[in-house]
Amino acid sequence: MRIRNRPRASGAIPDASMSDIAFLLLLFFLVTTTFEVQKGISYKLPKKPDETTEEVVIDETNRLVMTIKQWGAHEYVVLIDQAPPDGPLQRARAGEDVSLQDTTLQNGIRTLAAQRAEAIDAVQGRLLNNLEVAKGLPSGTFSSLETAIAAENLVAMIRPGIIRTYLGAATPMENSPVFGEVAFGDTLVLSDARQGDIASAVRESELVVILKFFPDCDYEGMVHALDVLRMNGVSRTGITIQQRMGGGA
Amino acid sequence: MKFKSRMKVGSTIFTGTMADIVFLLLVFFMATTLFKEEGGLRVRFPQAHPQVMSELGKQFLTVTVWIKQSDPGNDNSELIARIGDYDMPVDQVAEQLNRLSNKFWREQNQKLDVVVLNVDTRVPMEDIVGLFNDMRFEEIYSIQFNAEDLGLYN
Repeated sequence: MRIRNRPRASGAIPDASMSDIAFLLLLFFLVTTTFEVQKGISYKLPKKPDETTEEVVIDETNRLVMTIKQWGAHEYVVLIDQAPPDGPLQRARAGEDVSLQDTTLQNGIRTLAAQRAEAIDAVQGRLLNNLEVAKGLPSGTFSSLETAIAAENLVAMIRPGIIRTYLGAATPMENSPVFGEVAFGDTLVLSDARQGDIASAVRESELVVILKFFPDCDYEGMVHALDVLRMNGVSRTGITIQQRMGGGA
Repeated sequence: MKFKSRMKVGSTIFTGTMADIVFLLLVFFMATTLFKEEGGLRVRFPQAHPQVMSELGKQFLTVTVWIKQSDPGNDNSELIARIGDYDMPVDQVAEQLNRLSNKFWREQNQKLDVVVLNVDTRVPMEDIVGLFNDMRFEEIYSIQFNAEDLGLYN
């Protein structure tokens, strides 16, 4: 007589849903992953003074001095100490405080900056210098930007700046034989097919804005002030503290 | 007479390796995912317009400095700075940055490109200008003021 085996319990773990679980986990990580990017306002401090330092006096026509003080939480007021003669902010020198967000103040800064947009030759000279630094070449290797572009097989292009948005048709433009029409606030870029951007230079304003902060004004005020200046085409700034007057500590 | 049908070309896509690919992707994301946990001091960031903010490229060698008041909002309270896991008075920050810069140069032949400042909004400007002067003295010039997006300009 043939004896039938008893049915055995299977020892296998069902793995049919494994790929479903993996897909779910994959979707979760795809959705939640954030690659952290730090963003902020870049700033270059002036070189420390030494024997080789030359004292540069900023011409009165290119100089705007503003004192900034705190006026409650997140509010800052500006007093114009010095403004270029015959400019839009001259009247503000009467000693009246205006808010940092004041439209007249911002329009005035923007107009002053636009009137002092640097010449295209100066920007191209800086771009050439940046290219030589980026390539590790000694200064003066290339006689001109055109020579450098041909020798290094580079592509020249313009990246439009935000100032075009605010000034519109009034944006100062200048023609360049290499780049074509360059507006104030635009960035000139040299790139190559392999490495991408190699060097860049912004067509800045020659206006220098000195920010004098009251000692107890907070850090947020400085970031706001720099933000306002950058938005209005000013990139050359000085930051200092308003000296306390009288016998205070 | 019975004709044999010609051999047909299969039109299915082979999916046998799909699960392997998914697992590989899964392992990649599991390994690279960073649940953001700031290691520094708890600070309130200032805001700025996105148009004026620049992004630090991955090729830059950066050091992040955190600065806050021990009693936020009180101008007379002491300032605490943190670099990495070390807390220090703010007047030692520039010297410490110089030490780090030299270390990078010695060990990795790389220069410190940018110092990222994560400063609480309430820190007085007097101290910040003091820090800038100290940094200039230590020949550290390039900085970035970390800020949050203010949103679209209106």
